Amino acid sequence: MIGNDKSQLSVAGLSRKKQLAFALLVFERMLPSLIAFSKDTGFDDSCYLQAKDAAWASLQNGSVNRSISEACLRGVPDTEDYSHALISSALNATLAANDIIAFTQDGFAEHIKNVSTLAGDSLYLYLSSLEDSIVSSAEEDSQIASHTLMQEEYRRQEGDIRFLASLPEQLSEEAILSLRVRAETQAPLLPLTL
Amino acid sequence: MDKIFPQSWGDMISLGLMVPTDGLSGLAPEAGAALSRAIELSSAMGKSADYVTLAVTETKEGTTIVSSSENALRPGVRTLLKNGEVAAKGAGHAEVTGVNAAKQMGLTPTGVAASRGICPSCADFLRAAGVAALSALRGPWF
Repeated sequence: MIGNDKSQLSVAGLSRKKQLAFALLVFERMLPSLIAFSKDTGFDDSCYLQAKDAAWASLQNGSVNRSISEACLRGVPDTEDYSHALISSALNATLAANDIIAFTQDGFAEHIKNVSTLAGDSLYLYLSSLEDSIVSSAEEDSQIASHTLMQEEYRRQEGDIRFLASLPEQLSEEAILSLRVRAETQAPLLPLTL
Repeated sequence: MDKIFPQSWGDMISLGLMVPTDGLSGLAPEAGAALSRAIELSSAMGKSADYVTLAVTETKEGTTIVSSSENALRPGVRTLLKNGEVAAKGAGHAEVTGVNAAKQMGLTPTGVAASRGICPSCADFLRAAGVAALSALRGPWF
Protein backbone atom coordinates (compact mmCIF):
# COMPACT_ATOMS: atom_id res chain seq x y z
CA MET A 1 0.00 0.00 0.00
CA ILE A 2 1.31 3.45 -0.90
CA GLY A 3 2.76 5.10 2.16
CA ASN A 4 1.86 2.04 4.19
CA ASP A 5 4.48 1.31 6.86
CA LYS A 6 4.41 -2.40 6.12
CA SER A 7 5.26 -1.85 2.46
CA GLN A 8 7.91 0.70 3.32
CA LEU A 9 9.55 -1.82 5.63
CA SER A 10 9.62 -4.26 2.76
CA VAL A 11 11.19 -1.68 0.46
CA ALA A 12 13.67 -0.80 3.17
CA GLY A 13 14.61 -4.47 3.36
CA LEU A 14 15.81 -4.43 -0.25
CA SER A 15 19.37 -3.59 -1.26
CA ARG A 16 20.12 -0.01 -2.28
CA LYS A 17 20.08 -0.86 -5.99
CA LYS A 18 16.80 -2.72 -5.66
CA GLN A 19 15.31 0.27 -3.83
CA LEU A 20 16.42 2.43 -6.73
CA ALA A 21 14.84 -0.03 -9.16
CA PHE A 22 11.58 0.10 -7.16
CA ALA A 23 11.52 3.89 -7.40
CA LEU A 24 12.26 3.71 -11.13
CA LEU A 25 9.36 1.32 -11.70
CA VAL A 26 6.99 3.69 -9.87
CA PHE A 27 8.44 6.71 -11.68
CA GLU A 28 8.02 5.01 -15.08
CA ARG A 29 4.29 4.73 -14.30
CA MET A 30 4.16 8.45 -13.44
CA LEU A 31 6.10 9.52 -16.53
CA PRO A 32 3.31 9.30 -19.16
CA SER A 33 1.42 12.07 -17.34
CA LEU A 34 4.50 14.31 -17.44
CA ILE A 35 5.04 13.58 -21.14
CA ALA A 36 1.38 14.31 -21.95
CA PHE A 37 1.53 17.51 -19.89
CA SER A 38 4.71 18.57 -21.72
CA LYS A 39 3.20 17.93 -25.13
CA ASP A 40 0.14 20.01 -24.28
CA THR A 41 1.87 22.91 -22.56
CA GLY A 42 5.34 23.07 -24.09
CA PHE A 43 6.93 22.32 -20.73
CA ASP A 44 10.49 21.04 -21.23
CA ASP A 45 10.68 17.53 -19.77
CA SER A 46 14.01 16.62 -21.41
CA CYS A 47 16.11 16.70 -18.23
CA TYR A 48 13.68 14.29 -16.50
CA LEU A 49 13.96 11.84 -19.39
CA GLN A 50 17.74 12.14 -19.24
CA ALA A 51 17.63 11.69 -15.46
CA LYS A 52 15.55 8.54 -15.88
CA ASP A 53 18.06 7.05 -18.33
CA ALA A 54 20.96 8.03 -16.07
CA ALA A 55 19.24 6.45 -13.06
CA TRP A 56 18.70 3.21 -14.97
CA ALA A 57 22.37 3.31 -15.98
CA SER A 58 23.35 3.81 -12.35
CA LEU A 59 21.92 0.35 -11.63
CA GLN A 60 25.02 -0.77 -13.55
CA ASN A 61 27.37 1.55 -11.68
CA GLY A 62 26.78 4.67 -13.73
CA SER A 63 26.08 7.98 -12.03
CA VAL A 64 23.75 10.91 -12.63
CA ASN A 65 25.57 13.87 -14.12
CA ARG A 66 25.48 16.96 -11.89
CA SER A 67 24.28 19.20 -14.73
CA ILE A 68 21.23 16.95 -15.22
CA SER A 69 20.36 17.07 -11.53
CA GLU A 70 20.74 20.84 -11.42
CA ALA A 71 18.53 21.27 -14.50
CA CYS A 72 15.90 18.96 -13.02
CA LEU A 73 15.83 20.95 -9.78
CA ARG A 74 15.44 24.24 -11.66
CA GLY A 75 12.75 22.97 -14.01
CA VAL A 76 10.01 21.84 -11.61
CA PRO A 77 6.62 23.26 -12.74
CA ASP A 78 4.69 25.52 -10.37
CA THR A 79 0.98 24.79 -9.90
CA GLU A 80 0.18 28.51 -10.12
CA ASP A 81 1.66 28.75 -13.60
CA TYR A 82 -0.50 26.10 -15.29
CA SER A 83 -4.20 25.35 -15.44
CA HIS A 84 -3.71 21.98 -17.18
CA ALA A 85 -5.53 19.01 -15.61
CA LEU A 86 -2.24 17.11 -15.34
CA ILE A 87 -0.23 19.82 -13.57
CA SER A 88 -0.19 18.00 -10.20
CA SER A 89 0.79 14.71 -11.81
CA ALA A 90 3.52 16.47 -13.79
CA LEU A 91 4.76 18.23 -10.65
CA ASN A 92 4.83 14.95 -8.76
CA ALA A 93 6.73 13.19 -11.56
CA THR A 94 9.38 15.91 -11.61
CA LEU A 95 9.70 15.80 -7.81
CA ALA A 96 9.96 11.99 -7.98
CA ALA A 97 12.76 12.33 -10.55
CA ASN A 98 14.56 14.69 -8.19
CA ASP A 99 14.15 12.23 -5.32
CA ILE A 100 15.55 9.43 -7.48
CA ILE A 101 18.55 11.55 -8.45
CA ALA A 102 19.08 12.46 -4.80
CA PHE A 103 18.90 8.78 -3.85
CA THR A 104 21.64 7.91 -6.34
CA GLN A 105 23.77 10.53 -4.60
CA ASP A 106 23.02 10.04 -0.88
CA GLY A 107 21.21 6.70 -0.62
CA PHE A 108 18.66 8.00 1.91
CA ALA A 109 15.61 5.69 2.01
CA GLU A 110 13.33 8.67 2.57
CA HIS A 111 13.63 9.50 -1.14
CA ILE A 112 12.13 6.13 -2.04
CA LYS A 113 9.24 6.68 0.34
CA ASN A 114 8.72 10.13 -1.22
CA VAL A 115 8.42 8.62 -4.71
CA SER A 116 5.76 6.20 -3.47
CA THR A 117 3.90 9.01 -1.67
CA LEU A 118 4.05 11.29 -4.73
CA ALA A 119 2.51 8.53 -6.87
CA GLY A 120 -0.24 8.14 -4.27
CA ASP A 121 -0.81 11.91 -4.20
CA SER A 122 -1.15 11.98 -7.99
CA LEU A 123 -3.79 9.28 -7.88
CA TYR A 124 -5.59 10.91 -4.94
CA LEU A 125 -5.73 14.30 -6.68
CA TYR A 126 -6.88 12.75 -9.94
CA LEU A 127 -9.62 10.68 -8.29
CA SER A 128 -10.66 13.63 -6.17
CA SER A 129 -11.12 15.69 -9.34
CA LEU A 130 -13.66 13.15 -10.58
CA GLU A 131 -15.91 13.86 -7.60
CA ASP A 132 -18.28 16.76 -8.16
CA SER A 133 -18.08 18.40 -4.75
CA ILE A 134 -16.71 21.67 -3.43
CA VAL A 135 -15.27 20.18 -0.25
CA SER A 136 -13.39 16.99 0.56
CA SER A 137 -14.90 14.63 3.09
CA ALA A 138 -14.02 11.48 4.99
CA GLU A 139 -16.57 9.62 2.87
CA GLU A 140 -14.92 10.80 -0.35
CA ASP A 141 -11.47 9.85 1.00
CA SER A 142 -12.79 6.40 1.75
CA GLN A 143 -14.16 6.06 -1.78
CA ILE A 144 -10.82 7.17 -3.23
CA ALA A 145 -8.88 4.71 -1.06
CA SER A 146 -11.02 1.83 -2.30
CA HIS A 147 -11.12 2.97 -5.94
CA THR A 148 -9.90 0.41 -8.49
CA LEU A 149 -7.01 2.61 -9.65
CA MET A 150 -5.76 3.17 -6.11
CA GLN A 151 -6.07 -0.51 -5.22
CA GLU A 152 -4.30 -1.44 -8.44
CA GLU A 153 -1.36 0.83 -7.60
CA TYR A 154 -1.14 -0.69 -4.08
CA ARG A 155 -0.96 -4.12 -5.67
CA ARG A 156 1.58 -3.04 -8.28
CA GLN A 157 3.91 -1.57 -5.67
CA GLU A 158 3.65 -4.72 -3.59
CA GLY A 159 4.20 -6.80 -6.73
CA ASP A 160 7.28 -4.73 -7.59
CA ILE A 161 8.71 -5.37 -4.14
CA ARG A 162 8.10 -9.11 -4.43
CA PHE A 163 9.62 -9.17 -7.92
CA LEU A 164 12.71 -7.29 -6.77
CA ALA A 165 13.10 -9.49 -3.71
CA SER A 166 13.15 -12.52 -6.02
CA LEU A 167 16.07 -11.17 -8.06
CA PRO A 168 19.67 -11.99 -7.12
CA GLU A 169 21.34 -9.43 -4.85
CA GLN A 170 23.87 -8.49 -7.52
CA LEU A 171 21.68 -7.18 -10.32
CA SER A 172 23.00 -8.86 -13.44
CA GLU A 173 22.46 -7.49 -16.95
CA GLU A 174 19.75 -10.09 -17.37
CA ALA A 175 18.00 -8.94 -14.18
CA ILE A 176 18.18 -5.31 -15.27
CA LEU A 177 16.79 -6.26 -18.66
CA SER A 178 13.86 -7.99 -16.96
CA LEU A 179 13.28 -4.82 -14.94
CA ARG A 180 13.33 -2.69 -18.10
CA VAL A 181 10.80 -5.00 -19.73
CA ARG A 182 8.62 -4.81 -16.59
CA ALA A 183 8.84 -1.00 -16.68
CA GLU A 184 8.02 -0.76 -20.36
CA THR A 185 5.05 -3.10 -20.30
CA GLN A 186 3.23 -1.67 -17.27
CA ALA A 187 0.17 0.56 -17.54
CA PRO A 188 0.51 4.24 -16.65
CA LEU A 189 -0.49 5.45 -13.18
CA LEU A 190 -3.34 7.58 -14.54
CA PRO A 191 -5.59 6.98 -17.53
CA LEU A 192 -4.46 9.56 -20.07
CA THR A 193 -7.88 10.52 -21.37
CA LEU A 194 -8.22 13.62 -19.21
CA MET B 1 7.06 26.89 16.78
CA ASP B 2 9.57 25.63 14.21
CA LYS B 3 6.70 24.59 11.99
CA ILE B 4 5.74 28.15 11.13
CA PHE B 5 9.18 28.99 9.81
CA PRO B 6 10.07 28.61 6.13
CA GLN B 7 11.04 25.01 5.41
CA SER B 8 13.06 25.50 2.26
CA TRP B 9 14.88 27.96 0.07
CA GLY B 10 11.69 28.35 -1.92
CA ASP B 11 9.87 29.50 1.23
CA MET B 12 12.70 31.84 2.11
CA ILE B 13 12.67 33.42 -1.32
CA SER B 14 8.92 33.77 -1.60
CA LEU B 15 8.49 35.08 1.93
CA GLY B 16 11.58 37.26 1.87
CA LEU B 17 10.82 38.99 -1.42
CA MET B 18 7.15 39.63 -0.86
CA VAL B 19 5.68 43.10 -0.74
CA PRO B 20 3.80 43.93 2.46
CA THR B 21 0.08 44.28 1.94
CA ASP B 22 -1.61 47.58 2.82
CA GLY B 23 -2.24 47.98 6.51
CA LEU B 24 -0.57 44.71 7.46
CA SER B 25 0.80 46.20 10.67
CA GLY B 26 -2.72 46.99 11.83
CA LEU B 27 -4.06 43.47 11.37
CA ALA B 28 -5.94 41.65 14.11
CA PRO B 29 -4.13 38.78 15.90
CA GLU B 30 -6.06 36.18 13.86
CA ALA B 31 -4.28 37.45 10.76
CA GLY B 32 -0.99 36.08 12.08
CA ALA B 33 -2.76 32.90 13.15
CA ALA B 34 -4.10 32.31 9.64
CA LEU B 35 -0.65 32.78 8.10
CA SER B 36 0.96 30.52 10.72
CA ARG B 37 -1.65 27.86 10.00
CA ALA B 38 -1.11 28.13 6.23
CA ILE B 39 2.63 27.67 6.62
CA GLU B 40 2.20 24.90 9.20
CA LEU B 41 -0.09 22.93 6.87
CA SER B 42 2.18 23.62 3.92
CA SER B 43 5.11 22.09 5.76
CA ALA B 44 3.30 18.72 5.57
CA MET B 45 3.71 18.72 1.79
CA GLY B 46 7.46 18.15 1.66
CA LYS B 47 9.16 19.46 -1.46
CA SER B 48 5.84 20.08 -3.21
CA ALA B 49 5.27 22.99 -0.80
CA ASP B 50 7.67 25.01 -2.95
CA TYR B 51 5.36 24.66 -5.94
CA VAL B 52 1.88 24.61 -4.38
CA THR B 53 0.13 27.41 -2.48
CA LEU B 54 -2.13 26.69 0.49
CA ALA B 55 -4.66 29.32 1.55
CA VAL B 56 -6.47 29.68 4.86
CA THR B 57 -9.72 31.62 4.54
CA GLU B 58 -11.29 32.97 7.71
CA THR B 59 -15.06 33.48 7.78
CA LYS B 60 -17.38 35.62 9.86
CA GLU B 61 -19.15 32.46 11.02
CA GLY B 62 -15.94 30.99 12.44
CA THR B 63 -15.41 28.16 9.96
CA THR B 64 -11.99 28.13 8.34
CA ILE B 65 -11.62 27.09 4.71
CA VAL B 66 -8.32 25.50 3.64
CA SER B 67 -7.64 25.38 -0.09
CA SER B 68 -4.83 24.76 -2.50
CA SER B 69 -3.50 25.75 -5.93
CA GLU B 70 -4.18 22.11 -6.83
CA ASN B 71 -7.67 20.73 -7.29
CA ALA B 72 -7.74 19.42 -3.70
CA LEU B 73 -5.60 19.25 -0.58
CA ARG B 74 -3.06 16.43 -0.56
CA PRO B 75 -3.76 13.55 1.87
CA GLY B 76 -0.85 14.60 4.09
CA VAL B 77 -2.49 17.99 4.62
CA ARG B 78 -6.03 16.62 4.91
CA THR B 79 -5.04 14.50 7.90
CA LEU B 80 -3.84 17.59 9.78
CA LEU B 81 -7.11 19.51 9.56
CA LYS B 82 -8.88 20.18 12.85
CA ASN B 83 -12.53 20.60 13.77
CA GLY B 84 -13.81 23.78 12.19
CA GLU B 85 -11.42 23.54 9.24
CA VAL B 86 -12.92 22.53 5.89
CA ALA B 87 -10.92 21.26 2.87
CA ALA B 88 -12.11 23.10 -0.23
CA LYS B 89 -11.76 21.71 -3.74
CA GLY B 90 -11.50 23.39 -7.12
CA ALA B 91 -9.05 24.28 -9.86
CA GLY B 92 -7.16 27.57 -9.87
CA HIS B 93 -5.32 29.65 -7.32
CA ALA B 94 -5.79 28.72 -3.67
CA GLU B 95 -7.02 32.13 -2.54
CA VAL B 96 -9.82 32.26 -5.12
CA THR B 97 -10.83 28.65 -4.48
CA GLY B 98 -11.06 29.33 -0.74
CA VAL B 99 -13.19 32.45 -1.06
CA ASN B 100 -15.49 30.89 -3.66
CA ALA B 101 -15.94 27.74 -1.56
CA ALA B 102 -16.81 29.81 1.50
CA LYS B 103 -19.46 31.71 -0.45
CA GLN B 104 -20.87 28.52 -1.95
CA MET B 105 -21.20 27.15 1.56
CA GLY B 106 -23.20 30.21 2.57
CA LEU B 107 -20.34 31.61 4.66
CA THR B 108 -18.91 35.12 4.71
CA PRO B 109 -15.18 35.18 3.95
CA THR B 110 -13.36 37.93 5.84
CA GLY B 111 -9.67 37.31 5.21
CA VAL B 112 -7.21 35.03 3.44
CA ALA B 113 -3.63 34.10 4.29
CA ALA B 114 -1.46 32.08 1.92
CA SER B 115 1.61 29.93 2.39
CA ARG B 116 3.35 31.77 -0.44
CA GLY B 117 3.02 35.37 -1.59
CA ILE B 118 -0.42 36.32 -2.85
CA CYS B 119 -0.13 37.02 -6.58
CA PRO B 120 -1.35 40.30 -8.10
CA SER B 121 -4.44 38.76 -9.72
CA CYS B 122 -5.49 37.12 -6.45
CA ALA B 123 -4.86 40.40 -4.62
CA ASP B 124 -7.17 42.14 -7.11
CA PHE B 125 -9.76 39.40 -6.64
CA LEU B 126 -9.65 39.73 -2.85
CA ARG B 127 -9.89 43.51 -3.05
CA ALA B 128 -12.92 43.30 -5.33
CA ALA B 129 -14.55 40.72 -3.04
CA GLY B 130 -13.94 42.86 0.05
CA VAL B 131 -11.84 40.14 1.64
CA ALA B 132 -8.65 41.12 3.51
CA ALA B 133 -5.26 39.78 2.48
CA LEU B 134 -3.88 38.39 5.75
CA SER B 135 -0.43 37.67 4.37
CA ALA B 136 2.02 39.53 2.18
CA LEU B 137 1.53 40.13 -1.50
CA ARG B 138 3.91 39.01 -4.19
CA GLY B 139 5.26 41.65 -6.54
CA PRO B 140 4.20 41.60 -10.21
CA TRP B 141 7.79 40.83 -11.22
CA PHE B 142 7.53 37.19 -10.01
